[in-house]
Amino acid sequence: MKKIFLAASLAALLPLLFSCGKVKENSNNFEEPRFIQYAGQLVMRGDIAPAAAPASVPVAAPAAVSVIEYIEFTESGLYVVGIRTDGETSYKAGKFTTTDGSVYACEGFGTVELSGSNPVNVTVKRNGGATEVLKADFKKAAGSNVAYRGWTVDKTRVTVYGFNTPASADFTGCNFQEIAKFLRDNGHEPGDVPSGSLQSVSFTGVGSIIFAYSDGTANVGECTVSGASVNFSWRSTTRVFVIEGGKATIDYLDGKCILKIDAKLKNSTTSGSVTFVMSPMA
Amino acid sequence: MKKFLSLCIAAAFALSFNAGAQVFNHLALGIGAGTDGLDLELAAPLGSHVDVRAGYGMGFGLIGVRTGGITLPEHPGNPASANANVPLKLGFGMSDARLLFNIYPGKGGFRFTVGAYMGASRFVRGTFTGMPADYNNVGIDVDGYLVKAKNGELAIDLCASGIGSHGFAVKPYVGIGYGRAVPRSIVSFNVDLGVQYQGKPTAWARGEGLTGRVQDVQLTSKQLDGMDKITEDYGRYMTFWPTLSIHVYFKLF
Repeated sequence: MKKIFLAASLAALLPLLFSCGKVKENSNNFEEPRFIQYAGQLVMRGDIAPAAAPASVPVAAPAAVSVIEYIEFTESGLYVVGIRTDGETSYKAGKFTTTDGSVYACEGFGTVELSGSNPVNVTVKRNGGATEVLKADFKKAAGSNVAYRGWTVDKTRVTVYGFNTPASADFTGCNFQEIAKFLRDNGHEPGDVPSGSLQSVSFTGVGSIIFAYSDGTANVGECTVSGASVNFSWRSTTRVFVIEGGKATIDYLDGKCILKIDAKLKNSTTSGSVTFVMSPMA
Repeated sequence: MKKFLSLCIAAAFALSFNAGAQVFNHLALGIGAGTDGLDLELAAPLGSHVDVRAGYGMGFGLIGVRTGGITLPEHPGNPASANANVPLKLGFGMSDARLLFNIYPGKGGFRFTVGAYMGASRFVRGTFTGMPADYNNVGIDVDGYLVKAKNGELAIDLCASGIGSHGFAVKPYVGIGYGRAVPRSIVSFNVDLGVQYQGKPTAWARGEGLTGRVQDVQLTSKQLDGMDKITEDYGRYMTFWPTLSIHVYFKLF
C-alpha cells in the first residue's frame, strides 16, 4: 500500500516536467470567393469614344475628357475601373453585385452591362452620367490559387532598417498617417503622405494585384503568384505609399494571409519591410 | 556529461540493489530553499546507501536586484533621439522539477548527490522598467514575433537548456551534501552544495506573432547589435549554476 502511495506521489510530479504549449497548426482552408464565376477583366478596345458629359453639367467650362479603359471584377466582389483623364489613368474601386454575370451594379460608380462574346459589348451607365457603349476584350479569371481573392487588411507590421537596430511596429489596419509618424519618430522622412488607409489587397485570376484605399481609389498592377513567391509591378504609382513594386512572399497562418513586401522609402536609401495580415473577403 | 550522469545513476542503483535492503519502504516530505529556488520534495530510500528525491522548485520572481540599468534612445529605431535611463531589475527565473539520488558512502550523513533538474530553461529574468512610451508600440521583429515593452516593462530571460532543449531543459547535477533525506527519526536537516551543468546561456524574450500568437524568441546580434558578444562575454561564467540549498525533511512513514 505504501509503495502504491509512493508511486502515485511520484507520478503526480511528472506533469510538472512537461509544458503544454500546443501550437496551432497552419491553415489555408478558405471558403471559395463568392463571385468567382463572375470574375474577369475587360480591356477596352482602342476605338472607344470619350464619355459624354452628364446632361446636368453646365457647358460653360470644358469638361475633362474621361475615358474608361479598363474594368475588372474580382473574385470577392470588388470592381476596379481604370479611367484615363488627360493622359493619366486613375483607378476607382468599390463593391459590385451581380446575379447573372451580365449586369454588374458597381457601388459608387454605376452599372456595367455585358453582352455578346469577344469583343464584348459593354454598356456603362455612370452615376449621374450618360450611357456609354464600348467594346472590350473580356478575359475570364482562371486558376485555382488560394491567393486569388480579396483580402481585408487587419494589421500591418512595418520594419525599418538604417541604424544598428531595426525598429518594427504593428498597426491596426493600415493608416498611412500613423505609419508616417512611426517613420518620422524613428529618423526616416517618408515625404508627402496621403491621408486614409489601405483597406484591401486583391490578387486576381487574370494576374492583377489591386490595392484598394479607404477613399475609393486604387492602385493596380500586374502580378504572378507562385507558391510563396509574389512578383508584381504597378501600372501607376500615384497612390503607392512606401511600397514600390518588387518581390513579396505570401503565407497562410491561423486563417489569415500574410503578405510580406520588401519596401524602400521614396527618395531615401532606407529599406524595410511591410507585412500585411489579412482576412479573406467573402 | 551524459555518460557521467548515467554512470552515477547506475552506481546509485547498483549500490541499492547490492545492499539488498528495503526499497521504497519509507517516504519523507521535504521543503527547502537555496540558489535553486524554493522547493518541495518527496524522498524515499533505495536501500540503506541511496535515497531518491523527486520534487519541484521555483525561484521565479525571488530575490530582485535593481541595477542602474541602461541608456536607451526615446525612439527605439532612432539613436539621435533623446536618451532615457532605464533601470534593470534582476531576479531568479528558474522553475523546474528535479530527480536526485543521494549516495551515502558510510553510515553517517555525508553523501554525494547526482541527478538532474528538468523543466524551464530560464534561470534569470531581467526586467527593464520605466521604458519610454514608444517602446510599448515599437520593438524588434524576431522571426515574425514582435518583442516590445508592455506598460513600460520589458522582460528578457537568460536561458540555458543543459543537455535538453529550450522547451524542456535537462540540467545534470553533481554535488555533495550532509543529512539524510529520509530521516531515521522524524525530522532531518540537510545541506547541499553542488553545480548544475546548464551550458552556455542565451537571451530570450516574449514576442507577439502576426496573428496574435505569443512565443518566446531568442535574441541575437541579428536583431540587437552586440547581443551575441554580451551573452558570450558574460554567459561563459554561467555555464555551471552553483547550487547551495538547505532542506528540512519530515518522515511520513
